[in-house]
Amino acid sequence: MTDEKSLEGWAPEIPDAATLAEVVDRAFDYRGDVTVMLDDGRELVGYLFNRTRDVVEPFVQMFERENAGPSRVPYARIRAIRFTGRDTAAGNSYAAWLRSREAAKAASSSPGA
Amino acid sequence: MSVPLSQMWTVATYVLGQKLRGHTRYPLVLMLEPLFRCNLACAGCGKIQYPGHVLRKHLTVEQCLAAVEECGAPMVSIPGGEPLMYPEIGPLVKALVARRKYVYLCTNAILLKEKLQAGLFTPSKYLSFSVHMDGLREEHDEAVCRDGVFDQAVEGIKEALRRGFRVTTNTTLFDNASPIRMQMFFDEMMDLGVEGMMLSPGYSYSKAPDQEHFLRRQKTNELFAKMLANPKKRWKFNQSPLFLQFLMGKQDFECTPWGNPTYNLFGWQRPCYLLQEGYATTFKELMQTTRWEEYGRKSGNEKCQDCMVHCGHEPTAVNHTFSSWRGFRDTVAATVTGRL
Repeated sequence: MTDEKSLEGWAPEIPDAATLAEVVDRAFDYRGDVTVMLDDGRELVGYLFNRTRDVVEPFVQMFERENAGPSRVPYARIRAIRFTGRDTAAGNSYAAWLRSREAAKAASSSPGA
Repeated sequence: MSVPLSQMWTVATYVLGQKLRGHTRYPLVLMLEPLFRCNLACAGCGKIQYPGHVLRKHLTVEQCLAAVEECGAPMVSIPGGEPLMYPEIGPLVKALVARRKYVYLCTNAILLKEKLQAGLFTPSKYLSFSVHMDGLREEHDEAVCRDGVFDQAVEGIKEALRRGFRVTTNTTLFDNASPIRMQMFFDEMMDLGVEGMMLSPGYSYSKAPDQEHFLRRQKTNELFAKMLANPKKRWKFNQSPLFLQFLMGKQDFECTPWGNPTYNLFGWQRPCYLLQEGYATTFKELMQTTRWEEYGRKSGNEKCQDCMVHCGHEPTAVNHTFSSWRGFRDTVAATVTGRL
């Protein structure tokens, strides 16, 4: 399992463009939904699956939780990003599975089992 | 080796055609992921960790076929997610076969028997079920984190073979693999009657649950050299013999990240099947705007240093076959003699 701490619940301040670019990168790498706050006060909740920086108007792409198609949002319109959804890559499922398997084996081989 | 002649011919003429046209970067196998949803959660897999609303989505058949046309590769591999959970898998495969694409449907085979009995597929030389098998029963069930899956897969394989389908296996190896147990596994798969086996070392997905058991380069060479030192004649591998030699440390290949381009719900994945560094809207955009020089071992990219996975290195091996007399000679020799 990844040792890196999950960003679930993170709500960073975004004072400048450099920070925005960094937070967008983190959101892109995050395997849970995020909430993107726009300059007009709207909030988009969904999975941020792409970001394109090397273009005149950098943008992110999201699958919003309540809409079918992907939406595109220019960096320039983003005021904040909150890591509001569950981090689906977090946890320790392999180790947990191994533990439960060992426990099951021990139980089945113990006398009286 | 067990790749049918017609498939070899298709690949050979395609590669030679690309070379005659002066194309240095061309795709060999399209990795088409119609969905991310899966009925397993394997320890080494980093493909399925997404929120529920993303897992519930899937590509349409039209989107899949448009990607196939755009890409132009002669072979299409359908991984996922679990492709047998894709509601349109029957029509998709039928449409691909009609286009004479060689299709590898990569499945854990839990649903295979049921889908075959439902009449979803028709046997064809263009269609092969590539069943995920990570070793003998104990190793496989441990790799997929569920007991009983090996037996279900064997049942699915038997049913597919009984109905006249092409069946291959695909095996991912980790650092706890035993060469002797793997040799026993090869025997067991051949006894079952599969057409051939595909092998690859695992890749250390940053999102995969198990980060401890991925093979490093030297260990990969040691494992494969031991496992394939004296291959039995009856072992058939459905892949380039030069790629197997590369895994054994007998060949030195660089990665060809554009060789097996990946298309899924998010678009064309940069730069390869394993790394997710962004998405392009079109295949042309992927090929033209990805900074290919930043990937592969020679680039110094940390993420590529231990990678020896088939999706980047098998296209190199195939290209090598058609780039020099030596490559061609080595491939023919290994194919004819069965020696690696």
